[in-house]
Amino acid sequence: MDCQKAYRNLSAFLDKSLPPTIQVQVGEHLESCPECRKRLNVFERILNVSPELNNLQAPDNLEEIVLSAVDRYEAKRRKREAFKFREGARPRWMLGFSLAISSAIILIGLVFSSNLLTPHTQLANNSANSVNGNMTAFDKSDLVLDSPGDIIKVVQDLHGDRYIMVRSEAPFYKSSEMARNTINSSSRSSSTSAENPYLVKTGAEIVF
Amino acid sequence: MELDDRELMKQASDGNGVAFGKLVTKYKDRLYNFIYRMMPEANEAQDILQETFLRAYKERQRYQPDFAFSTWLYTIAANLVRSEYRKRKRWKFVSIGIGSQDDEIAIPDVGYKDLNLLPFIEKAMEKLGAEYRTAFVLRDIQQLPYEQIAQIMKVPIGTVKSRLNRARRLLREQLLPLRESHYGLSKGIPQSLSVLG
Repeated sequence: MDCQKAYRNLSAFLDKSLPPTIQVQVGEHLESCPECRKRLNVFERILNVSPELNNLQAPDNLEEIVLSAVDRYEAKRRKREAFKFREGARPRWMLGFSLAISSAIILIGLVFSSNLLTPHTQLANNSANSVNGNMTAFDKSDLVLDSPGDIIKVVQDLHGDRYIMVRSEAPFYKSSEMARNTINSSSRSSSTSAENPYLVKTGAEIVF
Repeated sequence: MELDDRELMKQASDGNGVAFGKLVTKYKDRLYNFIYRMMPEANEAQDILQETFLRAYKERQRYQPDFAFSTWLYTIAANLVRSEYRKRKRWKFVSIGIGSQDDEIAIPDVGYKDLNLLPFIEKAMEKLGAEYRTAFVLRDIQQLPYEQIAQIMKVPIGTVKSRLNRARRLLREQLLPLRESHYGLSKGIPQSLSVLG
């Protein structure tokens, strides 16, 4: 057996899932090939430690949250069932009228909320350099946006590392250092100083 | 007497909230691990976890007892993760952490044999495609049997093995420079310490 074939079968060899004759051939090749043994060694280390990545714990209050959501769902469902039951007693024109009113309310709500989406009113507190719970302070120079109208979202992983989700159309930066250099050179007209950090709740969306 | 999943699910279908709560308690940690390893962002993973259980409740009448309840839960979770990936195709992640490194992890001054590979594997996993990552997470991290993984991913067992094989090889390729750099340093040969790419 040559190295190429042995390498292709290394993963299955470790799982002992090869046909018996192939399993034996790979084993014999490994005995005589130090390079393939090195490759096997890396595979073995990956497989030996990977189960340790199954180490996270869900939030303690998950059951409470899920069961509350279930209760809300059931309450809405019962309400819908009750409405359907009563529907037969109502004239059809009332249903149309209700739909028209609902649509108008939704439309007014959309128009009203879009007027609130101005760049500066979307921003949270401008307090300087404070971190509180899941509020995260970051410097505007970290942002990778270079045109108004982009939407970003601040997220945080379990290790506490913070990331900004940016639109794909924006330039892709490999490091925050590059991002800082680019932003400093391109965003000079903002009315907000780059030195003032923004206190933004993780999960918030910000429109610039 | 401990009730099995199918019996608990039957009681939940009849409106027994306590029975459903027991199922949530039993599966929350392993599901959370799966979702987080697919989508390593705490808030989003928790949202998907909650939605998985809520959807399992809402669609409980569609659960077929021929399949393990855990398989059904994993399938719902995998579908939700997939939906989130599709939504996020237009997004990229850029680290803004103070002092956080985007591409490199500091390599401690220990021999290769003593090196803790976990953070490097975590980092390397981010570069795996979704299908390869799913196979790797379910098999090598969560240790599920091939038959169950095939049901969750809705592909033949042979395809699962093939994707797993590819995932392991891609991870190995990511980690190989790490091994080489340690080997080279121990011999006094200057080496690049870049782990990824």
